[in-house]
Amino acid sequence: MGAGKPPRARFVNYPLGFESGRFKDKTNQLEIVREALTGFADITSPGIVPLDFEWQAGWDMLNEREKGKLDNRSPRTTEPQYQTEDDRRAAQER
Amino acid sequence: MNPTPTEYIRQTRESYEKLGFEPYEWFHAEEEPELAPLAKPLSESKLGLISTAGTYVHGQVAYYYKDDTSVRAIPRDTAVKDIRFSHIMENYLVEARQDPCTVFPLEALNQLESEGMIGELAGNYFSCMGGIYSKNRVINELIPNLEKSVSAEQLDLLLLIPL
Repeated sequence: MGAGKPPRARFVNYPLGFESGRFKDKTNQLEIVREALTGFADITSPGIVPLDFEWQAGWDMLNEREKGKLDNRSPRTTEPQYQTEDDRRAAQER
Repeated sequence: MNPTPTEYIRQTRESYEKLGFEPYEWFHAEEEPELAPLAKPLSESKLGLISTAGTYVHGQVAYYYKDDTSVRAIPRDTAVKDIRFSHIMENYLVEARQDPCTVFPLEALNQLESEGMIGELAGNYFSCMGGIYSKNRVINELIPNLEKSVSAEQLDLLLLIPL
């Protein structure tokens, strides 16, 4: 993130996919967004300011994911990749 | 104490090389950013959101994975159950596909507006495919697309949540 030199940024040291909070933890999600937004006024010189949140949900699943064991990504094509087949039908009916 | 952050950049570099590509050239901003002073406090401002998580709404066309530079408008009153994701890094979105607010904080933003912390939320948020392998296409296609979309919302402040 530093290479992009954002004018105002907050960083939360959570795994990718949890940028705005832990899974089904509405309190954590609200507090992360609340704290992030304080950066608009509190950051007075360009830079990245870490948020004071700690990942407590366990790393086992994430470690497996990072090793590629849970990586079932679709190939890079120009075919829209729908989350569900129902999404595909709904888009095609429009 | 937090565990060591995952080395996503090293992993991406290795994955890229395994695919037979030239070494990945990460973007490095050449210019120092300008810090625009706030025209007014957040509590009096209109706030927008850009997510690079490949967010779309049930009924919209999903993104494709080969350098898709299109943009989706996500109406702020979209039901959370209708939020979807299609992103080349879909392995990082397993949980978000069950609880979209882990990357696209619809509920938190609504709550903070109702509390008065945010003056007003944009009528539409925006999303795009964050995994594009061409810097030129990001600069010459995606950014103008986003700029045009966001400008129409007449925002005071913009929150970017990258994936």
